[in-house]
Amino acid sequence: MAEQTNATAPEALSDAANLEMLKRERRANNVWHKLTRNKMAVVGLIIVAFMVFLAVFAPIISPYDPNATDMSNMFAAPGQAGHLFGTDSYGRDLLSRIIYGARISIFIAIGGTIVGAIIGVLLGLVAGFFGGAIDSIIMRVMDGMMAFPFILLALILMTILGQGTQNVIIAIGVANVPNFARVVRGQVHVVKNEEYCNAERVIGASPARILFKHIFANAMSPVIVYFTLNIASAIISEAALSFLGLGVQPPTASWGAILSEGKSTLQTAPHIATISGVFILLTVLGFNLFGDGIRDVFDPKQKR
Amino acid sequence: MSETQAAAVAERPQVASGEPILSIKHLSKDFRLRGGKLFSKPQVLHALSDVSLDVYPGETLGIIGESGCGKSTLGRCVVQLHQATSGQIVYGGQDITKLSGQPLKAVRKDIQMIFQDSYSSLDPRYTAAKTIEEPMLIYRTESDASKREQRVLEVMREVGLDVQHLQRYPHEFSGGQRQRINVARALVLDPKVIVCDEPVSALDVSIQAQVLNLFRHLQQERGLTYLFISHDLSVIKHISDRVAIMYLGRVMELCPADKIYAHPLHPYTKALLSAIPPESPFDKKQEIKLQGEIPSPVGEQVGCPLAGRCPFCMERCRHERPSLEEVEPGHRVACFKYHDVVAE
Amino acid sequence: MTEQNTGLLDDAGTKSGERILEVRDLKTYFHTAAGIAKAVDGVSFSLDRGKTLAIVGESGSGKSVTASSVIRLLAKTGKIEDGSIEFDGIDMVHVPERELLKLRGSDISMIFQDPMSGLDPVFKVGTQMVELIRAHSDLGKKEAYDRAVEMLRLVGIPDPEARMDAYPYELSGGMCQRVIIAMAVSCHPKFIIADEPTTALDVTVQSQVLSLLRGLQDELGTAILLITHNLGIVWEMADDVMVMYAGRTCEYTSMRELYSNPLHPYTWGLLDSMPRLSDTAKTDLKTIPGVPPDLRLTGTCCNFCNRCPYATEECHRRVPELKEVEPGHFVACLRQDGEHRLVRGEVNHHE
Repeated sequence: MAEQTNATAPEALSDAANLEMLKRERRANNVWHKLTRNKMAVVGLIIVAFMVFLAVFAPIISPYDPNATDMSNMFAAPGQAGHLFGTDSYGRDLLSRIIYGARISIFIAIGGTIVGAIIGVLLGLVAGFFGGAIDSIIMRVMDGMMAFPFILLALILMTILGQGTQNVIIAIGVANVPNFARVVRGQVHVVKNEEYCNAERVIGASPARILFKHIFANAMSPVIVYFTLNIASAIISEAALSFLGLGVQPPTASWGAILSEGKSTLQTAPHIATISGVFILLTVLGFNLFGDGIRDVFDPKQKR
Repeated sequence: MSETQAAAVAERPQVASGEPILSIKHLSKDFRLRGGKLFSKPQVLHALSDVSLDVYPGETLGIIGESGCGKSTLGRCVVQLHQATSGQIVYGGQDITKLSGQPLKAVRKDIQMIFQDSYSSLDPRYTAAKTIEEPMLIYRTESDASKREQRVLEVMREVGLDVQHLQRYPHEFSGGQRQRINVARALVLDPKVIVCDEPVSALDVSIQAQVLNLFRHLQQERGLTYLFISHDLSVIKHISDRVAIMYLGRVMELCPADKIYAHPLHPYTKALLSAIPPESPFDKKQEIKLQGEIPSPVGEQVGCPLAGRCPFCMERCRHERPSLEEVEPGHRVACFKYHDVVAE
Repeated sequence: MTEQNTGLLDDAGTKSGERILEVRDLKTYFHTAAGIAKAVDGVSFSLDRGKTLAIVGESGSGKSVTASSVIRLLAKTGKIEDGSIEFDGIDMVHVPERELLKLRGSDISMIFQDPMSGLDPVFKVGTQMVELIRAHSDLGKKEAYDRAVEMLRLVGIPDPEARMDAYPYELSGGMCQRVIIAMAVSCHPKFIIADEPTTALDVTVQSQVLSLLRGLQDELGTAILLITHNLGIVWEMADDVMVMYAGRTCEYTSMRELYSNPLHPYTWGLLDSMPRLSDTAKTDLKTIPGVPPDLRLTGTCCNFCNRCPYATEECHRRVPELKEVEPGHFVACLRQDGEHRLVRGEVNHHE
């Protein structure tokens, strides 16, 4: 056989040394290692982790019941009377409401994005893989949906579906479908023309096998990036809907709802709107930084 | 080289005989190009025009030509990656261009392909073992996972890889090793015919030699038939028994491999030979120059495809197309210059 | 490095002022997350005006990195660690970026493998040429245009005036490479770096492009650093040849000497593994077993020792220096110096 490893390879070029290099390379190319080399991504990840921590452990962390009113202690300034973030117009503890709000806001943002991603990815896969008329029909519908401003579309859906957490998730999800469909379709177009898809056809693989076992996995990296970045915008969407009174029902706390309540008392009690606004800002920033970091990890043409 | 191998070489027929294993008959492939302007007529690119070739069992038929000559399209038509516009590809008594579904899948098992780009033809997320195992899963040839594993290793050893390579990803291999994985994937189903589309063009010289030797050994051991496509004349001559020279979607010359160097006939073949860099600094080349560039394959094709560039072009060449005629035993040329000689 | 390593540097060239490029002990390393890759690890060579030096090697041999180091056109992770590069009296390692930009395109031109990468797809060929000529000379618009047309005619492009208005995508690969060459020579550079200039082209176009380059060289007295993996092109083009393997020079001599008297086992392997048109026997090609080493692991032994049929214990422990084994013939092999001699083919290749 032509290839033989020379039995007398020196130590420096031995199989063991080569294996060590392979291991080093795998470590260096490991997604987690690459991500943690990017400082801004780590900052983003910490922010995101902190917010998720708040949301998950809300009942344990929050010092008060978020919905317990205290009429004797309305509009308390931050730090007053044992309320770190002060209280709102009903005397409810703002810190507790923010913590519980994280639960609702992040839940809705992630839930909405998942709904959008699932539908969008499926449509995008089908459109990109089969092309032709199917592609045209799906993508023209998507274009039609995209022609509406995002918030208008969500507003229309909310009006049709009515209020409620579940419906906010559906509205945000549906409004995000075209974006996911576009990203996936574009990526499928790239991947399906890769030679390995031809190679699969030659070995007799069925279209379904090629689509789900090969194209799907290889088209996913931009979707993961887009998914993370999309959570950030979904948080804003939820806030906007709640701000407009179409989001979650009071007295449920969400960041958008708190911001909306704070709006009317911006002059007298600015801390309500400010603090909720800062949390929205931080979380959006966190997801964005994290998403950018993931993009750099997945993008082969990344600058170092 | 061992004696058994030498014997095997000697046994191979110099001029193919018997029944062809694969028969390409009057194959044409057009691509429709959308017009550049609105409402303009779609144009037709003639990638392959009326190609007829017989491939005999156990031989290597080399296909050579410059970029755009249709050699890759031909390979892709044979493995049914392209649907031929007209003509037939006969394998095992049936025209495979008409097949679909299960019958096509059954034929695909016998006709495999190895691509030029060893990297992009492997799924980057599949390890070598998984890639080589996949055909067995598709055809359900082996239901027992450990037996499949054993078979993967067996084939990997056959192509010169080993246990330590099983769990590696494509980017962790060198170009030559990756091409070996491609070969292993093609071999695992025990095919009869392998279409090799420039399989060594992207490899370094020393690695290219290893892979070429691998192809030879596999052919000797398994009795494979190759349709070997390349733009490199010395590679083609080395590996092939017979060579077809293509230009602008047509076969210009078809002859035993030795003759292409010793006794080329077609002006295009001669020009191609004279353009190859010398084998030593003391070689003085006699250059046969073709005028201008390769004409566009788009639109109506009239006359000999080489007419505009050929130094021996006659009036007749401009509006009549020479067919591929046998001018010597086993040597076919598509050129009026030789047809007339034979006729006289 | 020792004095012996200065290669052909010490001949008449320096004195007569014919020397245009002198590289001494160049080391270019790439710093990656998984370690330092020694892409070029101590390479010396020189080039005279009007001459062609070919650097031959396989991928990963460091031939392209050597060429890019000369004009400091390296990826961000790459760094010239050591050594000197003197081009026409200029210290290329330390010259400021701004001066370097001026040099590229005027005194030094580059031709790369992919002709399309050298042309901007959104501008017409003529616009790009005129811009380049004007950037490096004080010609007016009209004169620069005329010069561009003249250059296109020189490289054998039919109907050059019409081609001036063409976009790169409207030209074939061969045409594009001619335009690149026209651009490369339009400012009468003293030195052209051609990195696999014909690898992407068909053979018939390749032979045209090569004879074009040679013609221009005769006419303009340009020095060419030719990077290639194709020995046929070397026989056709080069005066001197340097064979590189895994970042180091194996053999450095004149082209004719390399052909008629190659001395390094790697060169032998390279020559033997090429299929030849004139061969009639249908036998196996001779191969070099194994694969080139990981460039992060090289530097403590002869880099070729694990593939070399002649390797001894000593080759595993020592890095061979480049030594002048015969007049003007430099070889880096422990078993191939003044005292010891190998006989080619004395040890059979594996199998």
